[in-house]
Amino acid sequence: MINRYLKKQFGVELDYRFVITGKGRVWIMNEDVYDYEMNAPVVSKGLYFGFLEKDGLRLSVDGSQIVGPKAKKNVVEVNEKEAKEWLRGFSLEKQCQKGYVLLKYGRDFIGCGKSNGKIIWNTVPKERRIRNLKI
Amino acid sequence: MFKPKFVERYGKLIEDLDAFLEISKEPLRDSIRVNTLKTGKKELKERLEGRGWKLEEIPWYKYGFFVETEEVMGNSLEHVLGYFYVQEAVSMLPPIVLSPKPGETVLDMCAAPGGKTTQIAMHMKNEGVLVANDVRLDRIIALKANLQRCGVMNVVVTKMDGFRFSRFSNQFDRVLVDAPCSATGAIRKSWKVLKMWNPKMVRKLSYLQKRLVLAGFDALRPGGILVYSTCTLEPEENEGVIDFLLRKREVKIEPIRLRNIKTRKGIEEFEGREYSKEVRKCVRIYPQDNDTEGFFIAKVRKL
Repeated sequence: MINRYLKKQFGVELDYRFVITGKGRVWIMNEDVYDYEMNAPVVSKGLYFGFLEKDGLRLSVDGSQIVGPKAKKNVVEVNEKEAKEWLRGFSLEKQCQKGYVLLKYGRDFIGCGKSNGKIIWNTVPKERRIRNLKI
Repeated sequence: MFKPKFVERYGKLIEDLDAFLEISKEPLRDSIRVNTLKTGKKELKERLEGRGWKLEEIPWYKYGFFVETEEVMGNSLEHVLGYFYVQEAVSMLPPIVLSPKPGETVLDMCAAPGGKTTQIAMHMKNEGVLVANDVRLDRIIALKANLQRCGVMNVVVTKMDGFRFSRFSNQFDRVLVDAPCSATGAIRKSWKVLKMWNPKMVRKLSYLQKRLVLAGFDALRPGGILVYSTCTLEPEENEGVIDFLLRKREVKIEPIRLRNIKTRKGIEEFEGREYSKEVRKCVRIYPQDNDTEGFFIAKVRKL
């Protein structure tokens, strides 16, 4: 199911297992972790990959880094000023395709946001935002 | 600055006490570890040097660098994206000694905040299963944030008392018990260590460490490797714990081979207490020997 979203949004399929928990949090893990059973208080399994919204899959910063290098579409290049703004937690005024897009600064994938064609809405969680980011 | 009791005790423990006390007043050198789950060593070095950082390779670990920079390291783009982890140079040693392999099942019993855990995951290349446990929720939050930033996906995070792992008998290929300790090797990181230090606390911690190492050992499969480490120089928390394990279980202490770092042997006797001669195979690292923190590492094989 998650691979269907990835294929549709970014033209990518990944050879990993996915687990959806709670209200739509998506976790990525390898086969061994997926199968690993433990009679203990498990807090989480795998890496937080993204959030399943009503209209698509919004990737986490780290999910964007996994998908980004293989993505065939919906990648938006940003400049230094925009990258700083994004990682400070601000949305970007930028003309681009509508829907979920991956943001790429130089060689780095720095996140995933939803665009209405004019604005890319910021999704960087508060704990990952950096006010005095040095690039 | 130093409590008289502390100086008296460490005078019996460390031959070159003056050098130890002197360097304990000096701040630690900053160091980072490349996170090869997300980037390459050469690429990161070029990027950071390009922004004016001075990097010097850590002699005992090819993925570690001593760093000099005016910038706050945590505010750099490379840190935000998880390309490196700020980690003390000798705290990179326990995972090297553990030597985890891709596809194995590994337990990090006292994992938070995650420096060694993310290093283990890196050497496992995100393959196999890494169980990262801690007992406190606030520490697990920090652990999870670091696992996330470093892109670790072969992990199962658990929250329980470490000594309860004894019921997972014979399950793990490798176990790291980086135990809570009195941290007298980490005075350079925080002076609070000296304020809190007292022999009663050492005894209390030693009791906890013995329970942890026993549980970690029981969780190990036969032939598996357990690494026990602390950042304290207290014999009761180090050789005393390994001696206890030797008396309670069928254990083989393995020699530890580290390159390009000065180490000292484990001690057999302290303040009237005698430990097994086997503990000489353990490794003590003193701050004055390599301009780092102090550390203790033991490598144990289950027979």
